[in-house]
Amino acid sequence: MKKAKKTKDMIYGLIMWVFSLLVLIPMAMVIFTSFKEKREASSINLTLPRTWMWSNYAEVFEKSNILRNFFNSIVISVFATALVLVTASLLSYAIVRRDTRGCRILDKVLTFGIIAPFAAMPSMQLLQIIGLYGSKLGLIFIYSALYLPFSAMMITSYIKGVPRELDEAGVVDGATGMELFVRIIVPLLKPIAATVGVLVFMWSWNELQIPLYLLDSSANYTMPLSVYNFYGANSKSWNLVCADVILVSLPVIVMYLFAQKYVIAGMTAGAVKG
Amino acid sequence: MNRNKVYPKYMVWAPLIIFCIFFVVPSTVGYFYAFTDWSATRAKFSDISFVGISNIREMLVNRNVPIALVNTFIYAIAKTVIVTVLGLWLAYILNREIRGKNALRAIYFLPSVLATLVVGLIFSAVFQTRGGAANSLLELFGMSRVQWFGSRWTGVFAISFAEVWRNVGYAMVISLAGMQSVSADYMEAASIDGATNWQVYWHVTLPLIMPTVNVNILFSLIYGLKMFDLIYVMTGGGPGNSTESFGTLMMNEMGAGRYANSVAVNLIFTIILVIVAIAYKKFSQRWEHMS
Repeated sequence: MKKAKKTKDMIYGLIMWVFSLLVLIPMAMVIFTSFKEKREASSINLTLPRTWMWSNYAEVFEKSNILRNFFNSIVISVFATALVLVTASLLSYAIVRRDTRGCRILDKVLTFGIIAPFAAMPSMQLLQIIGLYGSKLGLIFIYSALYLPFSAMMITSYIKGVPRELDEAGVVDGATGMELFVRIIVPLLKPIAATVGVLVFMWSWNELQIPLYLLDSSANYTMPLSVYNFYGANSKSWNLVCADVILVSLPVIVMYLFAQKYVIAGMTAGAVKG
Repeated sequence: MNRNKVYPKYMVWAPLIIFCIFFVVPSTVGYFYAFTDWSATRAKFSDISFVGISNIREMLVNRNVPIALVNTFIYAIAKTVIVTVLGLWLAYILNREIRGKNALRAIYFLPSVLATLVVGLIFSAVFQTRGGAANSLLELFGMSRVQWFGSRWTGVFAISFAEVWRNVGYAMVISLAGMQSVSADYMEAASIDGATNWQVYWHVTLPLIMPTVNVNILFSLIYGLKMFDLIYVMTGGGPGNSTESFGTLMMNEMGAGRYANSVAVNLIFTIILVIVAIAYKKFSQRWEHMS
């Protein structure tokens, strides 16, 4: 009986490893292609490059201003994430603890925020009117407003599990309002802040549609936008496009390999309801 | 405790102001533009005039909207069904004692951390007509090449394939998390009663993780309906407008300078999403009630 289970598990394991090739082969093809010479790279396959052209990477660096775009992406994602974390935790805390009718209506509005699609042209027009169109700041504000509802939903359900007695103890110590929030509640929010933070960071980092509408000058381009334009300009040179793809994905993959636990927890939290 | 003193109202203000200006205003008042003649040639606010519902009417009879509507639902439903089923299946297997299961989980999840754009580029390469991996595979089996991005249904297939590839690992991890939260006692009790592994899974585990699966189906549907990056990168909505979704149609209408039409599509899209979300919620509540 036990032995039968063991053989079964081995067969299943084998199937799973074969299946994983479906994930790995496309990635391996991109890696190999990125080192090929242009002609050789016109067909995408699993053969090793005849000569390893490290110069492809140098060429991408030279052509695509990757460091500047990397910096833009970092600034935008970091500030958007920080802003979302601050506003979402304040809002969730107030909604849960005040629990007035207004707060419950607000909760419904936030649900609409999760469902509704990005109002592209109206947002663009809004930023133009207030003078933030094409700027990093404009993008940061739009991201934080768009990702606020989902973040608030997750933090709300977390704060519901934080006992009110803690607040009361704080009040006895003489802390109210912001002081109470910062001293008592914020330290307790660290785990959920980490998961929400990872999620919002990845979303802002990978977003393509919104910057396409809201950024006009290449000086502020984010990584995905620059890759998209690079592809448009070099679509005949798969070797360069693949090198660019790898350079863009490297930071996320490194983060994933080192902080796998948090990345997975962050990306799947909220979806798991016990 | 005095509520207004301990939890003062001003705590809500800063978040609310940002949310209202940058989300609520464009997503409500902003749709006013759908009822104007806003376009690339009338870009300035002072040039715009009110034209009533003629844009909406025009977009509803415009043949691109029905195409986008059908495609959007195909993308979302195909992805949701396939990803959910495959995810549950993978989770079922990777929840067993399999050698290297942690490595396997990590590999399956890897595509989920890549930018959608990157996945789009990878599969543009895989499905390209000359020298693409998909066609090489077909030729290996003696079949002739397919121009994947040359017609509607092959294009829709290629895009959906990429979307499934990107999302299966994600669904797997969520199902796994759901399964691990199910107490082992239930399963032990069932296997003592003589149930096979599969029966335990089908009759015990699955119903218990149904709430998790349900939330995921809803999110998968909503994000699937909002799909943009893959289509934009792989086909740009073409050939013609045949693989268009609402997201790319909005973008292409803007690109063509028909700003008001883009907003009109956006508005129709919003209404559809709200209807789908409400309908799904009603449906799943009744379903959970029944089972």
